[in-house]
Amino acid sequence: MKFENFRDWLPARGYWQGNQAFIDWCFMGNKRLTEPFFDDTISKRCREPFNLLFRHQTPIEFLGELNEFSEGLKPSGFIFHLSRCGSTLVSQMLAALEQNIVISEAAPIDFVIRRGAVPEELRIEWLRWIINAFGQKRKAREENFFIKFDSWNTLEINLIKRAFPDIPWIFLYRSPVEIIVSHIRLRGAQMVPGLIKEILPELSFEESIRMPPEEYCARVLQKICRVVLDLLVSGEGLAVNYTDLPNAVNETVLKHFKVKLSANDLEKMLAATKYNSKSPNLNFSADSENKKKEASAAAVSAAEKFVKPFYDELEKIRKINLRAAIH
Amino acid sequence: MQYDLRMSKDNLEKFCLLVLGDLELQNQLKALEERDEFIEKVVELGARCGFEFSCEDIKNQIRENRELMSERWI
Repeated sequence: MKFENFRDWLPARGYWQGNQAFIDWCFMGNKRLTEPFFDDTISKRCREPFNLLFRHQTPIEFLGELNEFSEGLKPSGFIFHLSRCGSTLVSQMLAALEQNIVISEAAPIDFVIRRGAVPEELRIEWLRWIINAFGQKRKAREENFFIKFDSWNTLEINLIKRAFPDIPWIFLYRSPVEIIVSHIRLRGAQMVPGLIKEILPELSFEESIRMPPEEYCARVLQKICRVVLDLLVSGEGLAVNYTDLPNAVNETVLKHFKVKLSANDLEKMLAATKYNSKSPNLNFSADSENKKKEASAAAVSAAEKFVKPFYDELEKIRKINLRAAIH
Repeated sequence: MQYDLRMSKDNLEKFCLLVLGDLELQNQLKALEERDEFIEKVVELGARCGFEFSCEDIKNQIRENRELMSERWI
């Protein structure tokens, strides 16, 4: 297969046929990934006649060949998050600039990370390959490359770090009761028992569905915080609270990623914050107060019992980092 | 009749593979956003390259691809 035939294509999905992993590709042409989530862009493109009829399908090993043949941009930074805490706002701000490739919660990355049955060394290799495929420059201006992972991929942060030991990363979080309120309104996949099986393996499906949903959500958040806190405590990564957005992107996140932008670019990036990142037709506004008012007693109690101690630890680390940045 | 149908489906599959490996052909098709115009162009280019198939074959193929996509992707 000629690699140049894949120049304007992106991996769209991973799937298995027997024991072989395959990648479906989507023709992107000169379109950028500007929708809030990778899947939004792919779904849109895949409705175009060309993509409905023509599709590259390759064994996953083809990504390894591509990796040998064409080195993509090295990731500038990884974004991990607790969900519903402004991570899409951050990725949309970054995607507002043409020099940035932003991959936001891409299904093929999740496909590779969550293959527990595949040996870890192979998953690490696959992860390097798939990220290299996403980092291919399709436009001359592209120079920075950011990846926002699915929230539950944070549980595999050690695997991701083994694949990319020197890539700076941030962890976005928010007051847990506000996150729980958001998930009770509209549940993310990780908060539906049984959908992301790896997330709480210690609970049986029956236990999970009998549990109050607020408690299930709180336990998921606790699990993610626990994993990431171990690393943050040892001085890795940067903890970013929703309350510091959007200014933190310019003030701390980009510095942490060692990315420099012109004043004009910063202005463009901040202009993206005027819109609700998940529904670009609506204006963005911080909604913490509304969420706190809406919180049920069960949400408050689950947040206090299961997540608050971890949230407090995250806050301690964030404040220490901030003080260090000032001095 | 059945033989012809199989032939034209086979021709379409071969032509699709040809397009995936030929940037020139891709360039003539990728920008067409209107479905009927796209299908007519595929038939025309297919014939020019020696592959006979009909608009109906393409519509059926698109339907099959969609079904396959939903099976694999959901």
